[in-house]
Amino acid sequence: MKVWEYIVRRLFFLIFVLLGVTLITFVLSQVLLDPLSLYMTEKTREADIPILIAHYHLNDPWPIRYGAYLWALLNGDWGYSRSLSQPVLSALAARFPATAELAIAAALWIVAVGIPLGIISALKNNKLPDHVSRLIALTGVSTPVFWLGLLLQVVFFYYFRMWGLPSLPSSGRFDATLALQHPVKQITGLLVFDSLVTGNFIMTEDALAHLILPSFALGFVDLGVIMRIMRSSMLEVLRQDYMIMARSKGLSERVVILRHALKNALIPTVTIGGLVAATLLAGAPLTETVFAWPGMGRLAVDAIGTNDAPLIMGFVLIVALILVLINLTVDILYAFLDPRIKL
Amino acid sequence: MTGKPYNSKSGVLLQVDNLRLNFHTYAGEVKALDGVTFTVKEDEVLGLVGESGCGKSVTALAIVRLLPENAYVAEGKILLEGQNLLNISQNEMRKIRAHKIAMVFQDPTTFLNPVLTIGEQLEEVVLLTTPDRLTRVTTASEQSGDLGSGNEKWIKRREDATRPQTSPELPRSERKKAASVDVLKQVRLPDPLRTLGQYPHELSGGMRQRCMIAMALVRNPILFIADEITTALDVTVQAQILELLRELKHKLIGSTLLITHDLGVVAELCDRVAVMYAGNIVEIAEVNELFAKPLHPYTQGLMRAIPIVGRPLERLETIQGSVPDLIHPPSGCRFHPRCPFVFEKCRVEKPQLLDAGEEHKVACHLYGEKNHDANCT
Amino acid sequence: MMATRRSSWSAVVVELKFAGHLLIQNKVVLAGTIMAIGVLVIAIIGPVIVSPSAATNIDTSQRLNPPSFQYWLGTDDYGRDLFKVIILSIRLDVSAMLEIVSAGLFIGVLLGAFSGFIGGKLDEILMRITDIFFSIPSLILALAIAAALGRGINNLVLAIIVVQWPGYTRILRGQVLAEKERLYVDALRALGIRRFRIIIRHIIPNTIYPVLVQATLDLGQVILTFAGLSFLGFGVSALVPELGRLITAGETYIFQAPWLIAFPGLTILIISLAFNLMGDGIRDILDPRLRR
Repeated sequence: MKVWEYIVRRLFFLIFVLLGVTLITFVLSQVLLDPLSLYMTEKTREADIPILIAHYHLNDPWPIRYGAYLWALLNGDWGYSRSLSQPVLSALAARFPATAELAIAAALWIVAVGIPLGIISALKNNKLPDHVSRLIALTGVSTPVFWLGLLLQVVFFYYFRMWGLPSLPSSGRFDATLALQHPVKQITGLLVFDSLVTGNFIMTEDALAHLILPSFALGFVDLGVIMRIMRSSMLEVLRQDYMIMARSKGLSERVVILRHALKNALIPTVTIGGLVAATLLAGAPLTETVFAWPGMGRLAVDAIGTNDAPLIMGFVLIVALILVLINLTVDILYAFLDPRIKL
Repeated sequence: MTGKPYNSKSGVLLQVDNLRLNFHTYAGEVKALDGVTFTVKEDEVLGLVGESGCGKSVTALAIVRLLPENAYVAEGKILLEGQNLLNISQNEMRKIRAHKIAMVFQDPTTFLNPVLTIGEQLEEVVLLTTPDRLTRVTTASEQSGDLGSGNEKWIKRREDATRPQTSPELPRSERKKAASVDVLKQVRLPDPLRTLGQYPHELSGGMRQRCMIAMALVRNPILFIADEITTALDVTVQAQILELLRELKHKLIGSTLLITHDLGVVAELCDRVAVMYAGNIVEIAEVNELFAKPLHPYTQGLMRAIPIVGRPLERLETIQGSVPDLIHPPSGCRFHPRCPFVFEKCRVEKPQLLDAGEEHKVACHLYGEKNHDANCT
Repeated sequence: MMATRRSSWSAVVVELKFAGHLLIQNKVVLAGTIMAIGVLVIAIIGPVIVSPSAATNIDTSQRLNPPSFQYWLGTDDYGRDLFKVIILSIRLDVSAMLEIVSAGLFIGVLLGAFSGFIGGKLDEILMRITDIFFSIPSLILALAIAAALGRGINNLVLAIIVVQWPGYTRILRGQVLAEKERLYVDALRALGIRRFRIIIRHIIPNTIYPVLVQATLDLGQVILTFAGLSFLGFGVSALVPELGRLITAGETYIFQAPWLIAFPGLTILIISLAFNLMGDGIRDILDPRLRR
């Protein structure tokens, strides 16, 4: 049962980390900023303030205040966003599918392009494909994602249109008029999936077209990173003795690579899955702003302009929560991929 | 070296002919094999002995063409059943590896894939094997007696598998499993079924080595190459593996090329022995002949170095000097700096492998003048 | 640092040949280092070769000119020569980048060294704190901190520093844990030398190399974070020449005057690339030695 032990240990650690994050947001919201502003709505009147103070223990010593804060968080009360006239949690939750769709699409780019390219780089070590991938990786890590997004828009939207080529939309998640004509039934909130599954192919095409540029921009940075990691772990695996053994069995090269090498090489790549998710989420605010994508990141950015601190803090919390869950999934995945963990 | 055409009647399975092989390194060209010549006959066990670094493993890897990228053959031929393995395509070589030559390596820990079960690694070999070979495995298993774990299901399946006519009907997976269980039994694994589902790290070193041998056996190879397969094991386990090999010697394998640095192993298992030094074969003889009458000074040194149980010794005999640098090997005979009988010719001219008796060849100037026969098999 | 063993000459020759092989790949690294030095030079002499008034020279008659012989990179919404403004802004971005990394380094190294050397509860707590910092992407945390602190470039720099130091603390602490087991440490303690001195004078110099490598690599990352947050509205105010802010201004005219976005962004890319290459090269060269 060692696998379960391992998972439970990780769970405890991750919960602890989450608590730590709430501490940070607590300090930021209630120490650096006016604690009342977290919970005040536009309807709050002078008379209500003492009630708020009592309810959230805002005049009590710090530990109690933190306790009340934490309790509120667990109950879904993440504060109130005056700029949106909505509780923070529901505002974020409403925009969550959009960010999720963007991040998943970016992850797909990374997996579909980065991993194969990494494998090819390893197989053609030190030849042209390898040098090209190195260049892409290095450029990716040095590129400001918001600039890339803007450039993509200029080229694929504006210039393509000018040159008479089929162009991609530059902003938004879907065409509003089209959506009115062909409303998409909400199942998961992921437009491409929902419209596909309900046979609403017109919207699928539209949603996809809107998704391509932003997801590529978001994924581009990590594409190179994953490529290089895949390459180095693949190179490491190819040097192993069991590869000689596999070849000596007379197996075809394809089987040798796909069956013997790949599974081993993927292990380090999967373990940084958590890191990749973090980078994707970090890039979300910038990408969503640049592409006018209606996600959580853009919400946070708009909140900067309107000085809506509760929303920003809520965004931090939800990002931390998502990352914790993803890291847990990665840990479980890792435990299953590598049989040596079982012992 | 020899222009003799392949003669199927002569019973020669593998003929390595003047193999010269080098490695490109940053430090220079490593001249690892310097004209290696020997044969493996049908149905025999040839031992290939030498110190670490003399090129035994390199020779083995050269035969199966699994050398690293910086290795290249400068000269020579490797003839398996008359066909030069160095000239054939990758694809054909792969077929040879799948059906004709099986190799087992030294370290069962690093040579088994840690993320695949034994079953998976065994079955992929079984998949490539032809049905008649599989039948041979099951027959051998039957002959060796008791059916082990007493699992009724598997007994029935195994019986189905041995009936060649029904093979098309029987799903491949069943045949696979049956053959796998059988071959694991052949290598004396106590609970074959369970082992199939285990990962390499869950088994002991000896068990892992048996699994590797099983992967070789199941192919029914005509040539079995064992590269120091007991070196990484405990002495007791070593003995067991040797016992196993002795039993299986002719059952599921054609000929064996047994690579080792241990003369004891040689004495136990081999029919003929080739002694290797610094990339050259210095002596080949029938095993008893070699132990009785070692001709080459190096072989003599090796023999002398073996302590004999029961006879008190003051000091262990050694061969003076150390293994040469293969980037700048000694001129003439590569052994000359360490040879107690060295004379002028040794420093200048490299000795050829020549006949020096019945089935006994030696590459040394001490015996060179006697026999200038051009036959070098 | 590491015990240097006398090696025989032939071994040295082999090593040199190997290093030479690395150098072929390092042609690119060399290019990066040269680029980085170039960037630093421009940052320093920028205000000298280009008059700072170029940033405030508002000339509405020259708005939005495309790149031409007169205005190499075109003009922006205020009629300013984009080329000159970019040169001026390099200084700001580069100095912010250096400030952030040095401050983060300073704090991180001190905390890591003391925590690792002294150990105990303090060490535990500090490690948990760094764990928490690692669990949020740095851009987002910096965003939140900057939002809480308020506008202004100093607050932005501070916010990113807060996010930077945990990385260095972790690395250094790891090194210190190993280093403090070494014999000379016992010798020094036996001599009665105070731990503080030991840490500052001996431990830190011996363990700082991996952290320095990481810091060089971080330079490329930090400028992206800084420019990104500036783009979003943090940091400097409108007319002050800063690369991220230039892009914000240019966004309005994205299709009419794409050069307003293209060139500042390209500059950010070049700066980041230069330091990434340099950091990569330093790591490649130092790493094999570090491992020995």
